Amino acid sequence: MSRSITFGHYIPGDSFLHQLDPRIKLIILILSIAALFLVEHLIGFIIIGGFLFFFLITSGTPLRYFLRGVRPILLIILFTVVLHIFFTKGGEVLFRLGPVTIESDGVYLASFMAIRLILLVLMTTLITLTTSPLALTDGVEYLLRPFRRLGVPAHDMAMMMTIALRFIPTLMEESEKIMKAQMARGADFSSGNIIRKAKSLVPILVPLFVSAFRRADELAVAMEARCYRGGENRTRMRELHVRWVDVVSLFVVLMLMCLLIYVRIS
Amino acid sequence: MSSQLITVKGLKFVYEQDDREPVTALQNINMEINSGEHVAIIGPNGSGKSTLIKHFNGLLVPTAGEVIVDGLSTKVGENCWHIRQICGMVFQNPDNQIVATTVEEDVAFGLENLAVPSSEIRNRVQEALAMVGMKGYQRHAPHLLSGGQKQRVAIAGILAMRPRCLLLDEPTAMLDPRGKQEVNQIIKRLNQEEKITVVRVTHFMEEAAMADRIIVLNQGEVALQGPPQQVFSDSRRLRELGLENPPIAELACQLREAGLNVPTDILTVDELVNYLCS
Repeated sequence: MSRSITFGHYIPGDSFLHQLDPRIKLIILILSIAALFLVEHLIGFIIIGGFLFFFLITSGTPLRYFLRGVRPILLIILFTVVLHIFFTKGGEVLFRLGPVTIESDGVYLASFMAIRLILLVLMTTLITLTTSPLALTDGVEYLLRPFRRLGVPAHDMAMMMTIALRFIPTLMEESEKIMKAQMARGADFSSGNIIRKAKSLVPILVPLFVSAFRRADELAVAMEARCYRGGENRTRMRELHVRWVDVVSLFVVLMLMCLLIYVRIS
Repeated sequence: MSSQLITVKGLKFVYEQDDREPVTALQNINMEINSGEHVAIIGPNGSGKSTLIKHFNGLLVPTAGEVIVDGLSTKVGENCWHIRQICGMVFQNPDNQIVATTVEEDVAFGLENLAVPSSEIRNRVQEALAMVGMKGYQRHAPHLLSGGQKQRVAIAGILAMRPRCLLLDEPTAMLDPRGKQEVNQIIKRLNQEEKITVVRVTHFMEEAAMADRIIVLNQGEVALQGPPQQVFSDSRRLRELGLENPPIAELACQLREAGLNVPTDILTVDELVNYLCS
């Protein structure tokens, strides 16, 4: 069960991407996603895809992890493609069956969207696979810090992320335990249609939630006992330092962005 | 050194619940805990043990009476951070007190809260992990450790804050025998070598026997108090309170009843062996 979750599944390594500052990585990720949606020509995708592919290979992470990252959204991709193929009209008519037509604009847009989504997921997966959850939360906290004045609770959000990451395996283990306990009492999780299957999850979810709340309560007391009083006046053991590599990488990405915008406008 | 670290005067604590009758959990509690002492608090379920120990670091504040730690009253809100740094607390469930996703981050958590500078945190984390024998586990994920190891990490998290007193609320209740032994050895060593005061709530009489002094609670009041030899010699009273002697003390007691002249202060296997062979 816990093996199928790729998000936050960090694979240690020492590639170029692994060593990049998490803040810079996050900014680059956001810029690249923006770039994906700016691109209007196949050539743009080839450039972005080329960069992505280069980093996928050099990250030293087995390719199957990336494929596993794409798998959960295959359905969404399929859905988008089908919608576009059948409902986007324009261009030549490629296929006609009674009232249903497939036109060239639809095929064009459908493939665009599919490539976009796949690249997007691959990028995000690449970042989560090469950044430890700790570095990622640190990065999020630092990046959100300027928005504190606007009332964004940067520290609290990062703390929530840390605690969530810390407790995901614990709660997984627990849900497996509860599942077995319910099976020992004759519960059946595998047969029946989707509604029956969903219903059969209730006896797992209720105890899981009760226990999660109890854990949360105990954790809060334990944190208080260790002098936790929010983000004010707190130091960190790990401090982030921006190095030259980080600055140069960011610069390169920014230049590419400018190029994309220029191509788009002209 | 026998200076008072914790003083409890006329403590009374009432649990207020919205929809139920208030419950008096503790009353008429007066006690002192001295620096360097090892105190065990025992008592049947619901006798107020955990409630009492939570008063020692200001997690709970008395309804009446006073708890004074290192000269500071827990009633004053600003005092509680200093008190919690002096009196670190380890809880029963190791899973529910580890905050971070790696061992070193978790040990650093308390220090980060105390605003200790980053380089100093690293040193203290190393030092604390060495003290509990968990050196080399810095980067490990807590959920992959055994129960005993997790509890040792939790203790390290407290030790890093350099407390003078460890408050332990049934720290071994959820551990297997081996984890229990690991944790007990560390507690003993911290008390004897590092001179850290230990106050421990426990269900296990063998653990209580390790203490310098035992406090027996019953229905929110102190029922018995004294060194283990004295408390365990009164096995009839203990049984009345729903508690049992540690196995060796029980054996000695039965030997005594069978007519053998065994002294009343025997608590460990070694002591009994020494007596029987002499």
